[in-house]
Amino acid sequence: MAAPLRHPLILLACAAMLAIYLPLAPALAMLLTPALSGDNWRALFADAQFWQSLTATLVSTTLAVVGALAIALSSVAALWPGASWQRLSARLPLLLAIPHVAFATAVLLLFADGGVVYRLLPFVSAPYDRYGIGLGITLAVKESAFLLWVIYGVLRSQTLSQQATVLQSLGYGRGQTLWWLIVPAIAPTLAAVSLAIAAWSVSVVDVAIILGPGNPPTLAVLSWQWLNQGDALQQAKGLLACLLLSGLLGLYAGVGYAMWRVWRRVVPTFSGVRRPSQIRWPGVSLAVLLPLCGVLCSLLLVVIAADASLRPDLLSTSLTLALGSSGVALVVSLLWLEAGLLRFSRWIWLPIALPALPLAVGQYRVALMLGIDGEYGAILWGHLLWVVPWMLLVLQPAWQRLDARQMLVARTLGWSRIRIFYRLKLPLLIRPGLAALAVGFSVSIAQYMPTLWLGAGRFATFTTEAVALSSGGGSSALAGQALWQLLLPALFFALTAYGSRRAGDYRQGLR
Amino acid sequence: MLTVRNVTIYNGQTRLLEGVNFRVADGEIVTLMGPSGSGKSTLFNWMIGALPADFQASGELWLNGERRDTLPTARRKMGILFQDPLLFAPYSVGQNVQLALPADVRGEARKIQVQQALAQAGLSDFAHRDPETLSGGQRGRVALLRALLAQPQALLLDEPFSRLDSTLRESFRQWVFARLATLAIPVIQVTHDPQDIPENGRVLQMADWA
Repeated sequence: MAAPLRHPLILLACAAMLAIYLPLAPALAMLLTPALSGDNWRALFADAQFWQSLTATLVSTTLAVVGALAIALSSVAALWPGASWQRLSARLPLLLAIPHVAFATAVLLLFADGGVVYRLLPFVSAPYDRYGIGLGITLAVKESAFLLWVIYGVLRSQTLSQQATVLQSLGYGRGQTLWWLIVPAIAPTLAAVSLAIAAWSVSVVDVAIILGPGNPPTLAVLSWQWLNQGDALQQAKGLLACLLLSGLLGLYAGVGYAMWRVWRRVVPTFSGVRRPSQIRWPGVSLAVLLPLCGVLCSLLLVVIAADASLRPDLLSTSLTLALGSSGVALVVSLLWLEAGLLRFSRWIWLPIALPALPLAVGQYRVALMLGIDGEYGAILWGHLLWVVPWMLLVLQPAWQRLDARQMLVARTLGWSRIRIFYRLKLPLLIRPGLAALAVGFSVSIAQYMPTLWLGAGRFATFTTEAVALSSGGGSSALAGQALWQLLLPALFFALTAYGSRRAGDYRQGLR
Repeated sequence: MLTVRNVTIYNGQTRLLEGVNFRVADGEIVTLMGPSGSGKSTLFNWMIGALPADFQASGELWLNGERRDTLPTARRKMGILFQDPLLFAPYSVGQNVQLALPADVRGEARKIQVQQALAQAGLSDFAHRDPETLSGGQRGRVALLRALLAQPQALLLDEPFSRLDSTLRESFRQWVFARLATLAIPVIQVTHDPQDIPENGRVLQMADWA
C-alpha cells in the first residue's frame, strides 16, 4: 500500500510548495531586468529623496538589529540562569503576541505630535525624525522579544548552564560568561535571527508608514510609493530600490560575519583578569520593562479605542483570511514534512530571510499574469508565502523529535504509510500543530503589502485599515483597528493554548 | 575550614533536605553518599551558587571564616568538578587550562605554567587539541587541572568518576586523590559508589538530612 502512494505524495507536496513559492522566481527576474539599464540607475541616484531615504533605512535597520541584540544579551547576562530568567520567559508573550502594526500604532498615539506624552507635557514637542531613529528604536524593542524567545529555547541546555557555573567558579563574572561562553554557543541562532530581523527592518513598510507619516520615507516606503505609480520609470526605480534593499541585507550579513571573525580572534584574552562584578541593573530593568511595554501598549489602545466601533466587514475579512491561510498552510506543511524533499529544503526559509517588499512585488506580478489580482483567493495565496515558513519553523523541530523507531515498529506491524501518519504521527503533533496554527494565524493577520496589492484595494483588513488611518484618521478609530488587530491573534492563541491543554489532559488520561 | 550550617532546601512544596550541618577541615576529603534523587547535586548547586530556579534554600555556608552563600558564584572562590568534564568547546585544551590561571601570572609565564600542568597530567602534546578529541579520562584530568589552577579555597567533586569505565575510573581516582593530597583545602565529593571513598575518609549520609 505504501509504495504506490510515495511518488504521488512527493509530487503533491512539491506542487503545493511550488505554487506558494512561485513568486520567488519572477521577483528575482523582475529585480534584475531594470538593473541592466544605466539610465534607471542614474534616475534612481538623481532622485531628490533617494539618499535621505537610504540613510534613514541604514540608521533604522542598524538601530533595530544592534538595539535588539543589546537588549536581549544584556538581559541574558543579567538573568540567565535563574528564577528571574524563568519569569522573563513566562512574561515575554505579553510583548511577543502584539502585532507590529498594533505596537507601532500605540507608539504613534503615545509619542506623535498631539499624542498622550505631549498632551501631558505640553512644553515638549515631538522631534522631526529624518533618520528613522524612532522606527529603529520601536523595532529594536519589539524584535528583542522575538530574539529573547529564540534564545530562551537554545539556553535550556543543562550542559551550557553547568559550563557557565564552572567558568564563574573560576572567578569570571556574568559579562565574561556571556561573551566567552554563551555567545559562541548560541552564535548560529543569533546570526539567523539577526538576519531575519535585518530582513524585516530593511523592508518594513506598514510600521514605517504608521510611525512616520510626516517624516521623510525610508527606502522601502519610497520604493513602495514608486511601485504604486503607473509611470514606467517610477516602477523601474521602485524595483531597483527593492534590489538595493536585498543588497543592503547582504551587506549586513557580510558585516556581521566579518565582525564575528574578528571577535573570535580577540575574545577571550586569556589574560586571567577576572571581572566578577557586573552592573546588572540595565539588564534587569530592561527585562522588567519589555513585558510592561506589551501591557502598556494594550492598555493604551483599550483606553483610546473606547469610543471606536467594530467594523464587521474588517472582522470578517481578517478572520476568514487568517483562518483560511493558516488552515491551508497547516495541511501543506504536514504534507511537506511527510512527503517533501526535506534534504533540499533550505529555500523554504527564504521568505523569512529576505526583504518582504521584493517578494510582494513578485507575487503581484504573478497575480497580474494569471489575472487573479483583486480576487479573495489571490490574497489567501499571497499570505501563504509567509504563513507556511513560520508554521514550519514551529512544526519542523517537533517533527524531527518524532522517534523513528516507533515508525519502524509500526511498519513491522504491517501499518500503511497513511495509517502511521494519522494514527501515530498526528496525535503526537497535536500540540505543536495548534501552536503552529496560532503563529500562522497571527502572521496572516499582520500581512499588509500582499493584502493591499493582491486584493487591489478591495479587501480591507484591520491591518490595512490601521495603516490607512495612521496618516489622517481619528485616534479612536485608529486605536480601534489596532486593538482588534491585537485581539484576534491573542484570542486565537488563547483558544489554541486551551486546546493544547485539553489535548495534554487527554494524553495523561491515556497513561 | 568549610562549614555548612542549618541548610534546608525545598523543591516547590516538597522538602528535599532539612537541617544539613557539617564541617570539612583543610586538607580533608569528605564523601556525601546517597542514592539518585537524594539531593546531593542540589546541595552542591546551592553551595556553588547555582541552585535551579524551582528550588528554594535557607542556611549558611562559611569558608575560612567568611560567609559565602550570599556571594555570587564568581566570588565564592570554590572550584567544582561535575560528572561531565564540561570543557569549554570553543577553546583548545591549553586555552581551557589557561583560563584558570590567576591574572598575576603574566605573559610567557602563563604558557609555561599551562605546559607544566599538562605535562604533570600526562597531556604534554595536547595543548592545541580540540577538547572533543580527548578521551573521557583525559578530559577529566584537564577539568581537574582547570579547577585547581584557579587556586580555589575549597573543591566540590560531583560524581566525577561515575561516567568512566572501571579501569579508567580506578587510575583517574588515584590521580585525583594524589593531586588533592598536595593541597590544604577542604574537599567534598558526592557519590553513590563506596569505591570512590578515599582511605580513612569521612562519610556523611544524605539520608540523615531527608
